[in-house]
Amino acid sequence: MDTLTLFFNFTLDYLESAVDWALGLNFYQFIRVFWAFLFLETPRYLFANLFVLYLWLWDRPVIEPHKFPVETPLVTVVVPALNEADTIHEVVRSLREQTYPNIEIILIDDGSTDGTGEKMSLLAAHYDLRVHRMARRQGKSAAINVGLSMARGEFVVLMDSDSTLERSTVWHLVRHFEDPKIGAVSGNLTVRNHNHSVLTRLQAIEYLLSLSMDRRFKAELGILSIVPGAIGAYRRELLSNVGGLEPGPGCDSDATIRIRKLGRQIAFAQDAICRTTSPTSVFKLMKQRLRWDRNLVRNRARKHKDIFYPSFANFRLSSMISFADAFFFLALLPALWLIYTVDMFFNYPGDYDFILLTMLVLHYISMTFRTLTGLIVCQFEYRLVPLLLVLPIYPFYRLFLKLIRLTALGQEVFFRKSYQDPFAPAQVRAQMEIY
Amino acid sequence: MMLPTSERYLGLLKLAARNPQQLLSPVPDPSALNGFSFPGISELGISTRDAFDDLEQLAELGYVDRQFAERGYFCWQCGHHALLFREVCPSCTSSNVEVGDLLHHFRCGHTAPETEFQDGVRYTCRKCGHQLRHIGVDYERPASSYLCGSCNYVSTEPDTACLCLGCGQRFEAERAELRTIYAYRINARGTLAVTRGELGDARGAGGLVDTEFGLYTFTYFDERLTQEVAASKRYKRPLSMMLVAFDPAEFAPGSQDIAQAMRHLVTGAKESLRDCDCAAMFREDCLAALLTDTDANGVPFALKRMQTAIDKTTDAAGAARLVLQPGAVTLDESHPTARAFFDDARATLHRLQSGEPAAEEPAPSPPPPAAE
Repeated sequence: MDTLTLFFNFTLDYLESAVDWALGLNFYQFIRVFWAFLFLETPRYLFANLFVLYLWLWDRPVIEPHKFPVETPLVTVVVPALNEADTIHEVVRSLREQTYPNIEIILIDDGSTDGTGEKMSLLAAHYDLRVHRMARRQGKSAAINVGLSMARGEFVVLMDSDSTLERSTVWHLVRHFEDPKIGAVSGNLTVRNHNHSVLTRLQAIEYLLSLSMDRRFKAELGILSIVPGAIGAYRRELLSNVGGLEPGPGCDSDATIRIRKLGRQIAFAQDAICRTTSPTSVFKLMKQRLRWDRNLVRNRARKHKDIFYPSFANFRLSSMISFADAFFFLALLPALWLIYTVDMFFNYPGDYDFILLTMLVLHYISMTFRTLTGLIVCQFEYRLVPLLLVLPIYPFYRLFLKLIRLTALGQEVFFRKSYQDPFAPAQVRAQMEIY
Repeated sequence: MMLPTSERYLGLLKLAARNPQQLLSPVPDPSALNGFSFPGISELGISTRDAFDDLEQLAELGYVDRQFAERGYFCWQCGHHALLFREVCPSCTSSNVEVGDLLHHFRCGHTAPETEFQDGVRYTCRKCGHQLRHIGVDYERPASSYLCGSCNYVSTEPDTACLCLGCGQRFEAERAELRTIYAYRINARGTLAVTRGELGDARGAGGLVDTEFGLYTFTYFDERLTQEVAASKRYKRPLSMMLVAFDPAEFAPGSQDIAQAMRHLVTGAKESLRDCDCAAMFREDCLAALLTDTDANGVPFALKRMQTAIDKTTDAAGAARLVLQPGAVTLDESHPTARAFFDDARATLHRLQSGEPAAEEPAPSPPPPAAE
């Protein structure tokens, strides 16, 4: 009992000292100590959230119509799958539940060895869908390209085989094509298994803030440059014209960039919800994020660097800003945070613990606001309210992701690690064009 | 006017005998009680229903043989073929049931047919007002269900019931009567009855000798034919048959006693046959002769003998000579059964009588056989 009282008293004293320290800072000192928080990502993210909140308040979300018009163009949903025997049935079920009335489903088995192909054939015998089975693994891009060649729809929806869709997702994706400038539409990814562990809960918050709110913000500004492979819709002819998907990791962002280069816009369908299974272990998460983050160098810095060239025939300022935004947040920001950490550690060694504590409190306030905004805007995520409980450790999760990002960037800049990623099968990797 | 039973029977047998396959096959006829009728029945003045009853009776009596034609369910009460098999509500037996999935809304636990949740293209829970958006997340389809539009009873499996469009009776599907519809093939006994023009058997259809002509009965002939065909096939013995049609009116023009004239001709023809041959009257005007141990080369000799005997008869009666044109066939591999063998002979005779060319000329026969 005495120990507990002692610990409690110590904590109170410590917090009192921290508050006294923080309140004792003058304006200049406050800016000097918390420059990273005040000038790096927080204003950008807070502004983005407020902007989306404003849109939500004044530009009401489009509600699915009670009945569809008679003319509903055919939409082809292509689902490439590799060893997804356990989930493919769920995918098909969610597709069959779609409210959009004119859907063609194509399943592509990319040489699975766990009976996925057999399950697909079984599903094809029961439901109205088409199946193509590769004799040997060819890679996700090849599987999608086969599906694309089989597709008859005016629009193509590409989705992952470990994801499921809400009933109205396809309609919410397709309705954006009423605008002829739109070439592709990004769906809204959420975490399906957020109740699995703390790690998946943290990812659920990240998806809500970064993939949902931030993409909506970027789409409204016309600088969205990625349609996730897990859920996205394309004009079939346009996707065929850019040659379909190219092999290797980041094939989805690569195709989207090529569509942007043709002068088309990328829309974000916030109500087109796709629930995807997030990694459940730290190792799997690291592998996934390393693959994602390497694409920044592979696709944006190398393969499509002509986006930055004003002499480029299809140069667009929005595309350049889109790339610059990505570089700032994905590359420069982690580096600046590293610099900030070193700066504080060496320049304020005595107050480092107070700085860290205050930073956590500030982040917690910021994150709580942002998360609540996200939950308000994305009504579907009310069930995520309990996730606010893991917010105190969310900054550490972000720090962890930043470290992964820096590692990935280093790997790609110096070793072109993405070209060794088993995302593409060996025979394809051996022939891939290296940028 | 209702025909006497025996006349109906004979009419049906004649109708069967007229058919090239000697078969009365039922054809679909929605207006008939059991959905089938026999072509040509109306000419006989027999109703379809009576025809089926009579043919069943003839089958029982042994004049025709049954052959499977169709099988189906009929009204247990009136025998009508037009039954509506319907899925009905187990509670009120109304057929106003619709199949649909049951939906289970996870949030409030409401479980009801899909139709109850349908709100345009959306699903809205009537209990809690929330929208169902994602299968496996918001809701599930635990099973299919049947919703009765009359009493709102929800069942996982409906009952099956019948509605007879003939009598309007509604009954459980299990009570529908499974019945077989047959085709009827006239057999030897039936053929004999047609030949004789009566069902009764004064000369003993089941006996051995036809006392009128001094020949075997056709029943015996039929039995003997079966035996001889079997023996010939087993021991590679030749076997031939002739069907000779006589026209008594040509033999005795203007005669009132056609039967007497026929007896003269048949008696004459019979004299030409060997003791080992078997002969019987196939129809009133046709002699069937089974020529044992006679191959295709021997048939012309047998015919020549018969022609000579007939010539003697006509000469003796001072009548004009008759030229015989028998339907003659020799057993070979194209005749798998005695019935096929006999049918071939009949077809040959029919062709000759109708003036059609023979299907195939018999092979030339240099060495005449030593047939008796």
